[in-house]
Formats: sequence, C-alpha cells, structure tokens
Amino acid sequence: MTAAIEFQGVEKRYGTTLALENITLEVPKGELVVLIGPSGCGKSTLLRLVNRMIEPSGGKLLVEGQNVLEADAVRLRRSIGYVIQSIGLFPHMTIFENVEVVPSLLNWDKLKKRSRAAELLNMVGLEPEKFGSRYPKQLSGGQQQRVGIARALAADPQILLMDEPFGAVDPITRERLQEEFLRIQREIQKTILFVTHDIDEAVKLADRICLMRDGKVEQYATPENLLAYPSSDFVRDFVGADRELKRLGRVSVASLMRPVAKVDIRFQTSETASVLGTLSARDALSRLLEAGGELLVLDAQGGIIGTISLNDLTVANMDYRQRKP
Amino acid sequence: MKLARALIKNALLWAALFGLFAWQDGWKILLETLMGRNPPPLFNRATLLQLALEHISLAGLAMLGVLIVGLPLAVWVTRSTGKPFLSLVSSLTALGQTFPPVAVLFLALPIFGFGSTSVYLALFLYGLLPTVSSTLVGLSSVNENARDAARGMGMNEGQMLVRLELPLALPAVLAGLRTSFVLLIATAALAPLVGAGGLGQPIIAGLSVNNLGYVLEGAVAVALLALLADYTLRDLERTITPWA
Repeated sequence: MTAAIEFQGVEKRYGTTLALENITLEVPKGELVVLIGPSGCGKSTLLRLVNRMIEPSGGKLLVEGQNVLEADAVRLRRSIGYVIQSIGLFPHMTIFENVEVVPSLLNWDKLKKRSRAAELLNMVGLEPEKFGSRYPKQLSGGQQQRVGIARALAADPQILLMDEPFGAVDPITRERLQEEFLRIQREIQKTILFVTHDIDEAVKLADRICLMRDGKVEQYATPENLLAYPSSDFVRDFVGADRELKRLGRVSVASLMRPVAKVDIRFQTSETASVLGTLSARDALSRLLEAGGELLVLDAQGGIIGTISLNDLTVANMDYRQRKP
Repeated sequence: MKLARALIKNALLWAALFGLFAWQDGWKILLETLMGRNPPPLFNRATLLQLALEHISLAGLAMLGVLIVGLPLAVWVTRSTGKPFLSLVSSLTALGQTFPPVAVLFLALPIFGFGSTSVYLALFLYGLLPTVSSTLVGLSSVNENARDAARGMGMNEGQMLVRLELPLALPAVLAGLRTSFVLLIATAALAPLVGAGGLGQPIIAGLSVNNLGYVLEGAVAVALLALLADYTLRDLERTITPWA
C-alpha cells in the first residue's frame, strides 16, 4: 500500500484548544477516504491541512512523500483538486472560465484549456455547447455542483479534497450526483479525501471511513468493517441501529444468492417475483419483506441466475460476522 | 459587442447634448419666450458651449483625481499591509464629505488663491467619499466561499485581487463612481465663487444682478449634464457586469 497522504502524529492547536490531537492516518493512493463525525470533530480542519489552507502545529504531514510545510503553498494547491460545500463558483465567470481557472493559473494555452474544459463538462454530464458560456447563476444547484467537480479535475490532479460537496442539494439530486461521482471515480482512480456528516453517503462512497470525534480518530476502517465491528459505543451510536442494513447496502444480491446452474423448469412456470442481480442486498431484503419466501435473481438480459430468500441473507450475515477483520 | 454598442450610443448622446449647448439661437428663443426680452435672458459673457466645456473639465479633472487616489487607497486598506488604516481612511473620507464644499472652497482660498486650483481641491475632497466607501463595500462583499475556493485552487494575493475581488466589486465600484461624478458636476457650479469658470457663472451672475434668465440657463445646463452622466455610467455598469 503506497500512501498518497500520510498524517504522522499531526496536531492543530488554536490558542489553548486542541482542534486535532495526534492524528496518524494513511490515505492509500487511488482510494476514496471519507472523513466523518459530528460537527466540530475536526474533519474539515484535517482536510484543509492537506493543501495547506491551515498549517499543522505539530507532527508531520506528507503529501505524495513531501512535507507540506516544505512545499510552496500556491504550487501545492494548484496540484490538488478542491471542492467545497457551497461550490464557490465564481459568479462573474462563465462555466468554461470557471472550469479553466487552474489551467489558466498554470498558463495553459487557450485551445488546450477549452478542449479540457469541454471534455470535463461532458464527463460530469453537462453539454459544453449548451452550458459552457452560461453564468453560474443560470444553473441549478446540482448542475453547479457538477461544474465544481469538473473544475477541481481540470488540471488532472492526483489528489482531490472535497468538503461536503453534495451538502447543499436536495436528496434526489444528491443521490444522482453520488452515483455519477462513483462512476467517475472508477474511471479516474484519484486519491480522494471527502468530508461529510452523512453516514449513508459515507457508506455509499467510501473505500475507507475515518470516523472522528473531538479532534481524534475514533475508528479507521472499510465501511463493511466499521459497520460490522464498531470499535466503541460512540461508533455504534454514530453508525446507527440499522448498521446491518447499511452494510447490506454495499453488497449485491448476486454475491449472496444461491446460484442455479441451469434453469429449473420449476422457476419458469412459477410466479415467483424477481430482482436484478446488481441490486443491493438491502433493497432485495425490502422486496423479500414485501413478497415473502423467495425471489428469482435475474441478469441484465432477464436470464435467471439464482434465487435468494430471507434465510440466505441471514446465513450470509452470520458468516460475515464470524469472520473477524 | 454589447459594450461597443453601448459606447457608441452614449457617445452619440453626448455629442447631441453638446450640439444642443452650441445652439445659441435656440436657447435665446427659449429663454426669451419664458422670461421676456428685458433684461436680455441669455448670458452674454460666454457661449453656453464654452461654459459647459469648462464645467465638464472641472468636474472631470477632479474626478480623475478621485479615481487616481481613491481606488488604490480603497484597495490598499483592504490588503493585509493597509488593513490597520482601514477605519482611519473610511472616517477621513467621510469627514471630507461633511465639510460643505463652499467652506472647503473658502478654506482653500488663502492657500491656493483665486482660480481653479481651489476648486479642484474642494471637488476632489468632496467626491472622494462615495468612490472610496463603495469600493470598500464592494471588496468586502466578495463571497467568502468564492475567496476560499480561489485560495484553495492556488491563487496568490495579486491573482485573487485581479481575477476575483475587483471584478466582483465592480458593480459597487461603478455605482460609487457614478455618485461621485454626478455630485461633482452639481457641486462644480460653485466654482465661480472663487474665480473659476463653468456653468456656475450665469447662475451666480444671474443671482447677483437679479436676472432669472441667466440662472435658468445655467441650472438647466448643469441638470442636463448630471442626468446624462448618470445615464451613461448606469448603462456601462449594466453592460460590463452581465453576470449580475
């Protein structure tokens, strides 16, 4: 595991109050690490240390092997993508100009800037011909958020810092943005540090979750392990009583079903309800509670690939719980 | 494109206004209709065009001084080096406006004597406040998130000012300039009190010899200048800030 970002006993003091206390944390290259915790736990402070918007008062912080305090702050920031909750698009610039901010700070030539901006707008699902020359005010909140992401990716940074990037949009838009963001991340494989206070968002997006409390790391683990093996009562409370359900949300039906080798005539004639194999086990559970008994699992072409029952879910869950991390 | 069109339109309007000032006969007929022929109501020591040109150059030069001093001053006191002077500068500029311009005119007399220097000083002090204070407001109203994003993306102080803060402050700055300039056009009418020219001449002469025709001539011309200046600057504000 190579670490893109490494906190080694990092501290941050404001006067006599300790905002961050002895943080030791490694963010592996290409992973999406979510920082989460109640407000005031220091998650945003931790994030802002990485591009030196805030300087640590103790310990060492390495970004791609370099101590941030020895880096040139301005150059460091240009090499790291930055997305904040309220987006911070510049109202006097068109969408193109907004996306081109960092490339123009880096003195790219005009054509290269424009083609990169168009490429990124396409990637985040905004047609450049239609939106490129509009002003931020003329876009919806969700669209502005997409522009914010495109802007952060403009100069192809290896690291992305995101501070509650989907915090200001409605739940439906947020879910869509999250899905698309996951798709983009699978494509670009950046190292991402992502702050949120929404545990569902964290479980959905994270490769690892860092749960913080009062300036300290409470638990740092994969979402599955955080949910299955909370290290303290605080973590247990924070993830919520439905943590097993949340964990099922990260698993596909196909991975828990009982596969059928060849299609049994029994199923072809039965009127059993069916689900897609790509559906999350959590949604399948909901369908099972509704339909009872057993569900057929289908592949994308509608072929039957297996069956799933309440009992299968229980067994799979017991199996998981018996494996210690 | 839009800007070019606005510039051409306003240039034509100004040409039309000065064309109107140049039309001595028209003014004569108008004033005689309104005021009668006796005493002759059209100011006879200078043509209206001369007076208007003098007037606009008094106000214009003072405005130039306001721009040269006021804008950098306002920017400076919002930077980290000038921050300690922020409150001093805003109260001093406010003080400049609490002095009635007439008082400043007469206070400047013993130093600069009769003539336009005293007028420039008085107008300069008087016009500084709206420009400086609205520039301060404009710069301080720049969205904190936009500032944070700019810094986080790697802009240095100068780039933040030029690429973000000044453009965003522009609507407020322009509104301040407009207020200053209209104020200066109106106030420049006092210039003849200390021996300078401009459209105040017929007004003050008319008041002293009780010729209301003179007063009307000067007052209408000053009003027309002020109105058109206001219109032009408003127009420019709209065209160069399309995002607002």
